Amino acid sequence: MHALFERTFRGRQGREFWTAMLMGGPAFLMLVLFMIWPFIRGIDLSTTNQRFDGSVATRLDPWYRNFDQVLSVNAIKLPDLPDVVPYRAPAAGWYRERTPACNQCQSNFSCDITDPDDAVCAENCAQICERGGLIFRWRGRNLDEIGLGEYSEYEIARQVSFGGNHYAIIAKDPLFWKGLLNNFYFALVVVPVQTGLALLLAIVVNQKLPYRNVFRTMYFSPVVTAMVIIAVVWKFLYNPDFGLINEMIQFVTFGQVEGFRWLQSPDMAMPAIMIMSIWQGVGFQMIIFLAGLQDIPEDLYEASAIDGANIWQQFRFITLPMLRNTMIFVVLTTTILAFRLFDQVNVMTPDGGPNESTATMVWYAIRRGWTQSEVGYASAISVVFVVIVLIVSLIQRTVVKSESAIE
Amino acid sequence: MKSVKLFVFVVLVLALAMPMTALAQDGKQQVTLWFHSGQGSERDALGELIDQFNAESAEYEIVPVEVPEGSYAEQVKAAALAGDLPCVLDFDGPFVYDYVFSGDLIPLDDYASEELLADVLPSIIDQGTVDGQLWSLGQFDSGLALWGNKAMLEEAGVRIPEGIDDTWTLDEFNSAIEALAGVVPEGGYVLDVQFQLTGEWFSYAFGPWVQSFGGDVIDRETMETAEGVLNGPEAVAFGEWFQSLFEQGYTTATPVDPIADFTEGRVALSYVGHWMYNTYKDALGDDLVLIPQPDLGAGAVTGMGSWNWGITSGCEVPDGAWAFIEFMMQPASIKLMTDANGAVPASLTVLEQDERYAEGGDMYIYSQQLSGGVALPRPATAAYAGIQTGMEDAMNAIARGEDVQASLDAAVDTIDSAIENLAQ
Repeated sequence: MHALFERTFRGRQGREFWTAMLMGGPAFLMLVLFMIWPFIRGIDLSTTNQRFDGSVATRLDPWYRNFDQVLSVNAIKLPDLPDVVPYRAPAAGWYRERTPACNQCQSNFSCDITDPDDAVCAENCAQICERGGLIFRWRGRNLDEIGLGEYSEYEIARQVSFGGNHYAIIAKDPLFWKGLLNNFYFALVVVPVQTGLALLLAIVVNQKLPYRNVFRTMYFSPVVTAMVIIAVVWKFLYNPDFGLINEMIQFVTFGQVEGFRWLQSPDMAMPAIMIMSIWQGVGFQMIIFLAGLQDIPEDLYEASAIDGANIWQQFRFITLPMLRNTMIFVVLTTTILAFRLFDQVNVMTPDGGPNESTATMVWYAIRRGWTQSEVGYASAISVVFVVIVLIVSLIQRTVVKSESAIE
Repeated sequence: MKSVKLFVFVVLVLALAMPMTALAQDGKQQVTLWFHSGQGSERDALGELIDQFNAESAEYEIVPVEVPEGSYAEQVKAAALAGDLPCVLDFDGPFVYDYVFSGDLIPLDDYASEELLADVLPSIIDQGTVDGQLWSLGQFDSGLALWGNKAMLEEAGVRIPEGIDDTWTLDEFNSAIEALAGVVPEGGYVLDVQFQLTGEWFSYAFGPWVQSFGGDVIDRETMETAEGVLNGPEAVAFGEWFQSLFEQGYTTATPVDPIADFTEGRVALSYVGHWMYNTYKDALGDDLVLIPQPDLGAGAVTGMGSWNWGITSGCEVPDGAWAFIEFMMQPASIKLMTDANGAVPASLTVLEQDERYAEGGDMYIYSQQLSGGVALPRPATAAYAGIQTGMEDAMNAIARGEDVQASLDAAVDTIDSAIENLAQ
């Protein structure tokens, strides 16, 4: 033990140790101050009801109450549909959505049923109104009345119907799960697409093209621009009525396609943010791939050309294998960045988008902790978030390792 | 080499000494101040007033910090928790309950003289009073009604109300919108509802419309829940009507530049507050008319209250903070501000002299709404931040065409959980 101490801290090796500490010191200090300490504080806060507004925080009883709230999920069968589904929502139970078309038809024709002509109108109007979707109104405090009292702390996350029965997945905090799913949706699309596109761009700007530095700069420039600025600009580009993107779609299709309600429709809001994020981030991965490409010795290509390999074979059997380490790095970092998705969401859809379709875990933690000042609860969300990202990263590492074992 | 070392040394010494000299400057006590960065004219007027105060005062110097408006309330909260609040704090009316509840402010009763208060608009004193004590004072009250383009209204044959007694009913409002739809040019729309704004606008502007339909944003008797009020049949009726305005293209949830749309004649009605008066007047001149808040069924209702000043409990120089607020409440200071931003002056002296607010003036409707019981204060609850978030989300969801009942239910949940959190 003493000898080890001597070896480590004295003599030539010792000097190396102290030099290393001196060089690494500032970085370690920063890591402790801004990563490790906040994380420990976060774990501590996640078991309290700490808030922003001077009220005194207490330790929760039981301590995992916040985590229970975040993670509780259940599946139940909803009550059967009544024979006549009302248009006015009951305290709890089924009702039919009043569509704008239904409202319009009812306000435009005050139908008189005794009039034979009007009967047709009333009939039509009823048909229009029946197209409104069925909605189950779930109000925690009224669930007792329909025999679901034990679930009063839950909310509906998703409804499914089959075989004439209606089921619901319920969660104590459905918005967290929605954010989690949105994060996975974003990562599953953005990571492969952005990586592939970056590789393609890197290969293109690696050719001996004229003005290739101009192209490299062009592709890279969004990366060095602040995300908030880009998001504000793209918000205008996505404007459904006057935005450049819809104008372009209309121009290219000769007015056949109207364009999309990008950030206003639940189906398009997330893709809109994905497209913009890929455009913004692709330059960064491109530069890394470019560095990887330039590390591949030219003689490999020459040798393969002599062996009669075509361009595709060269790409498949030289470029790709030689870029393996670069690829691993790019995929890992892109995945973590994808899970951190926040800036663009907060600027482009500050309320989490239509039907919360662009809500993410980080957005949700900030909303609860910052906007709604529930610091304790937001800490619990953050802890769960870190654990999930950790698991995803570990899975990726394991997959990568087992692949290298095969080789 | 030596000269380089000397140079570095001198720079270091200077850099270290700089803050000391800044503090010692002419021996005045510094008073920190935060304000929200509003529109340009208001910011300029405030800057001018601070300069005036600093030039006049022998004892105190105001050190202002401008904080972005979008998340102003959140930043104040964070600073309160960290103990970093400034001496003088600028905040929007309803937050006074929150700050008093959290113990962030000190009462002004010991400072404010009766003479000063006698000249202050009663609605301002109401807004700043919590539990019988005065906590804040503001230079102006707000006015909220519909700005109209007279030429377009006349072309569409729409009746322009003279005052709050003959304001539009819901049916008249609807038919006015329909008639105006035939008048607005290509690329325009009838009614601007300022959906490019974020934050407090949605509860300030559309809370009154919910009330005018017979609903409310909170049960004002108990202040304990929004259940049955913001998601009851009356509020749902409001939501369905409001949604139909978007559905039929009369208004838009995605305006690019609604102010230019109105000033350049692409929009006939603009639902926005007093703060657009100068801009709109410059552009439209005599074509600018103010239409009182319509009666949507249960009587016309509009918002009131505006930004005001308070002294924080951590302030080490409360006398200096008060000296500044007292200076701000002088009729001359108030006049300078309200001339710039078009708001209702909080000083009775200034209000009486202001032709714009006298009978026949451009903004007489605002004084009528304030004195005629149309303007109602925002709910006196420390959970106002929850109302703000809930309304913002719900109005946006309704505008996008989501189910009205479900959207309002979600707003009720947000508000009720904010109230529950207070009780803990």
